Amino acid sequence: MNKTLGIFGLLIFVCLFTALFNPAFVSEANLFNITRQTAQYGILSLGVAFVIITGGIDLSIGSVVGLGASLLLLMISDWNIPPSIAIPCVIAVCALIGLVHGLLITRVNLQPFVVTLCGLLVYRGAARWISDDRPLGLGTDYESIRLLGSGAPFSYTTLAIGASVVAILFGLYHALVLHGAQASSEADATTTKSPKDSPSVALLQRWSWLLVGVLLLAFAFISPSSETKKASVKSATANLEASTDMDAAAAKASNTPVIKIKKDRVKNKITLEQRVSRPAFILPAAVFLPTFLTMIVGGWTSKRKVILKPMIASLLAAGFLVAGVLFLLPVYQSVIPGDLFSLGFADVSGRLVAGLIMVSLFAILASAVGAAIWLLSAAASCSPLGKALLPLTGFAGLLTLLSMTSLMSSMVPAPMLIMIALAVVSSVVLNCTVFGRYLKALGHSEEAARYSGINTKNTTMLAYVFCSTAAGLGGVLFALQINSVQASVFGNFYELYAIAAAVLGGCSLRGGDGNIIGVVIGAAIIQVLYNSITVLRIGDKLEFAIVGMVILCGVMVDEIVRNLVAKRALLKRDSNPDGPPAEAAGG
Amino acid sequence: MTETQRPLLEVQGLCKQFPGVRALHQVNFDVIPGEVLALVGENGAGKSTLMKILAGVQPPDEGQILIDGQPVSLANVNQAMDQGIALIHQELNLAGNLSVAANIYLGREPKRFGLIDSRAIRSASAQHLQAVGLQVSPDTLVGDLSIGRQQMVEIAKALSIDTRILIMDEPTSSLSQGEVERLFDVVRSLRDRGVSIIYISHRLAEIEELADRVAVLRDGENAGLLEKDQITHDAMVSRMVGRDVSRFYQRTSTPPTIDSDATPILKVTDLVVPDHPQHKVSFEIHAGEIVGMAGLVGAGRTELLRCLFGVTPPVDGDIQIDGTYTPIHHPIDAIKAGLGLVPEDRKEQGLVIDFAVEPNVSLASLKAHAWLGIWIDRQREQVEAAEGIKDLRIKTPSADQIVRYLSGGNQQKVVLSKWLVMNPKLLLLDEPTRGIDIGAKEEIYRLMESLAESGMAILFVSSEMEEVISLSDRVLVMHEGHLTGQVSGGDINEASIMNLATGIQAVS
Repeated sequence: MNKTLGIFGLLIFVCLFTALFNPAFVSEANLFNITRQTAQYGILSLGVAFVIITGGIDLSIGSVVGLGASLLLLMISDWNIPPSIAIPCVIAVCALIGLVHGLLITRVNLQPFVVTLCGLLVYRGAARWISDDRPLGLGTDYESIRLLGSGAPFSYTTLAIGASVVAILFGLYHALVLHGAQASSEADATTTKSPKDSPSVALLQRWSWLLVGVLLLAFAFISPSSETKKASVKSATANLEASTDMDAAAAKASNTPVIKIKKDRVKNKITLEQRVSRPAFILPAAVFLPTFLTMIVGGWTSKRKVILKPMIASLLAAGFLVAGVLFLLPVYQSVIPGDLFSLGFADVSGRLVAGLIMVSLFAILASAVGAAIWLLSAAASCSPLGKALLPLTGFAGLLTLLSMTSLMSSMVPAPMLIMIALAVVSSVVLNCTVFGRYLKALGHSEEAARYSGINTKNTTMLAYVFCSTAAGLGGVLFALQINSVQASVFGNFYELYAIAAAVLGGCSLRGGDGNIIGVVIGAAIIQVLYNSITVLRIGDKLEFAIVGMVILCGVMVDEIVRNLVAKRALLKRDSNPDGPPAEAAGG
Repeated sequence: MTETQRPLLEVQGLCKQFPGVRALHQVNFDVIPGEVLALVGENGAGKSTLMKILAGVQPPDEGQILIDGQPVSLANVNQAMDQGIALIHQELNLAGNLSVAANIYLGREPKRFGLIDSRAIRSASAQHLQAVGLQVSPDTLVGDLSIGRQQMVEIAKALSIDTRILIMDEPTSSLSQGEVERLFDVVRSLRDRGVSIIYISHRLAEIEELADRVAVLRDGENAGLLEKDQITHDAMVSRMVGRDVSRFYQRTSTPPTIDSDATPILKVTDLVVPDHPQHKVSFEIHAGEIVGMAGLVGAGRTELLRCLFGVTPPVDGDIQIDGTYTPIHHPIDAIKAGLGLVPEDRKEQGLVIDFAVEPNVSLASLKAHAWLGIWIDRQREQVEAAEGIKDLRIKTPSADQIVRYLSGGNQQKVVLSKWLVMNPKLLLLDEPTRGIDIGAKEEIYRLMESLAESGMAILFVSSEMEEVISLSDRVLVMHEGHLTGQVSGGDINEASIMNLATGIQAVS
């Protein structure tokens, strides 16, 4: 859970940083693009996450995407097969590919790396062969089926209302059923140990999910459903043709988003003052501030020592941040990159000044976000009140940030709905079913799993089937949205984005670890990074280098934290050979 | 052995302590030039530790080692080599993908102009190979040689560094009869050339044939020195055994009376274990019985349990469980038939070490208790884990604690509770108390007893003689892959078990 929070912080940080330097980042059209790409790549990542959890790898995803996309367009346009048959056929072919991978890996005992590496080559070749290297496309004939990939059925406001209904229902279930059962079982187990929580805290814990749901519902209703609705729809559709993906097919068009975003900035110029004065900002902020202060005061009164350090860090970082935004940012905006910049005593290259400001604000913002998360988790661990308030506070804070963007008035891309459905299913499979448990067990230790009577071979095989199926689904969505497939390059490198997102999201290539929300966030981080490189005009030559560095840092921090936690746990065990202290038993 | 001969190697008052275990205590012995000194003792008598100290792998806590009357320090393997001591491990340390010559000079290749002088290596290797009577080309890949010949390469390697004292650990354990004869010839010829050999083996018959003197270790102490004319099987066994078992754990329950007509829980007929395909194993176990399985290290006990449980499925033979013939190809089959296995390697095989207590306890029963075999019954899982923690007194902060951070004894209890959830008919335990502190050991013994009283059959493998003697109703003894016999009731004592375990007294 902490790990997911950490990379969520990373996501927020990248978004904040980009928005700080170019507010166009949070415009409707750009957010639509980012969320659509996140959904498309997220589907691939969800698939590969299952394979990575078994301790394997699938390098063939990109080629399966290419093959699936080529096959789909070929079937529909050349062979005149109706899309309603072609799409299931393509996905079935991809599932079959996964089955072959699984069979080769579990029955012939080949290494996953080798099998899928060969797959990478074979499917690419097959795609080129069946399409004869022609560019494929549906033209303008199949608009209705293309909506599956490119459609935008409703705005995020609608999605938020739906989500809030789910949250409210879950909140009721949690408060009335789960919480009661938990309380009674806890009472059975440790009647003496755990200190009795005050009734108000217990009440808060019981109803926290419901409160979150209600807050989201209210937020969705007061969010402006559209700022410049026409403009956003227009630019979204315009964007369909331009296809701003970073795949090679669209490489030529890589300048398009910048131009378009510039246009957006002119069109929907909503100043910060305007955003802040809207009720959509005031409501979550009005919830966030008092709860956050209560958490800190609660922590301060119960465990001053724990909360002191993060508090000082947060205050310092906040001070730096305000100073940076007030003084450095205007300077950055006034710099003209090509020109010299006068410092009074010397003239410096404008590019250098802009770069220095960017780097220093990067560091300041990173420490501010880090300190804020530290403070929140410290405050939550200090007192039961803090723990009970954390979901509401965190969520209100998130909504406050969201209200300053145009996300709620942006449309939901159709692939996003498909990805959400897939993520929910994956999450349920991984956490609630025997298959999911077996997957994790054999990922950690195949031998132990086998000794416990698990059919490790079939379980592993299913993971590969799921991965290739998801890749096929992704290929279908990509093909329908982009509507132009060149088999020799379509989907190149997609496996690496998928794997990187899964790893960033907390899946260990050693196997066993992995959670679905993390994978989705990981996919989002990678897409946001790509987007921000364009939006900030850093230059696409550095794209790979930056994405690579961010992933490396994320994984490194995770590994360091994990080692620290492990060391601490071992120390604790060794100092208490007869059993851990009662204090730890409470948790 | 004349008095005038000065010992080449003298060991005086050697002590070595490991956490919780006294491996060696005041061990003395000496080696005369040109003799074969055999070192014998039960599992855990301290032979391995002694040899590691001599080879410079581990330092002793106390005591000194003299070579040619001079005290020497053997702080690392290179220093030991400089003193002319070489150790040949039971598992050979050769690189199979390199040639014989390259292996002999691995890590100290003669150089010429900065490059490896392969011609010099080849000619020197040929000489050493001749000395051990191995007729293969120095260019042969080691991987292509039989185990027996690889052993000769190891000896040739030892000779190439002017070894005066050659330590051989169980050199014959994986050799055929012919290879053993050839090895003995080489050992004798080395002895005649003045090389001293410390020969460690479980095979007492070989020692009778080969050794000039025998040093016996028991519980890390000297237990006697036998001169050439005193070396007999009985003399060796009587010095190896003789521990006072009465101080050990005492059973509280009385052994059950087995009705010989009743259907046994497990009946094994002519079972062929893949690791020892030349032997057939037959035995049966009744409900409520605690059967111990004794034998020296490498006797094939673990392999037999793994075979019964379907980890390495049997090649041939029948397994009847509760009277019905049950083919076992995978642990799934064994579990379905009502078996449970607490494996030898707790951390790799028994537990998913990075899982919490709760999913470990429920792992084997998960599917059976799931809704439609798909949906995990979380509530039942929680109850099972809580019961396991309570009943077996697992010391853990909560059921959510990762088992890696539990102590060995508590980890073992988690493995046990995993199987107890399934309520098996027969529980197989492989070294259930290895690496566990005394308190947890006794709890596990008591648990085994109470399970047997409730009607479960228990088959456990142990290398600790006291454990086998004090817990078992009946003891099956294995030697080199076959069941050499069984002892039960009042006949269970160290001497009777050791006789069977060393393969002298085979019961037809």
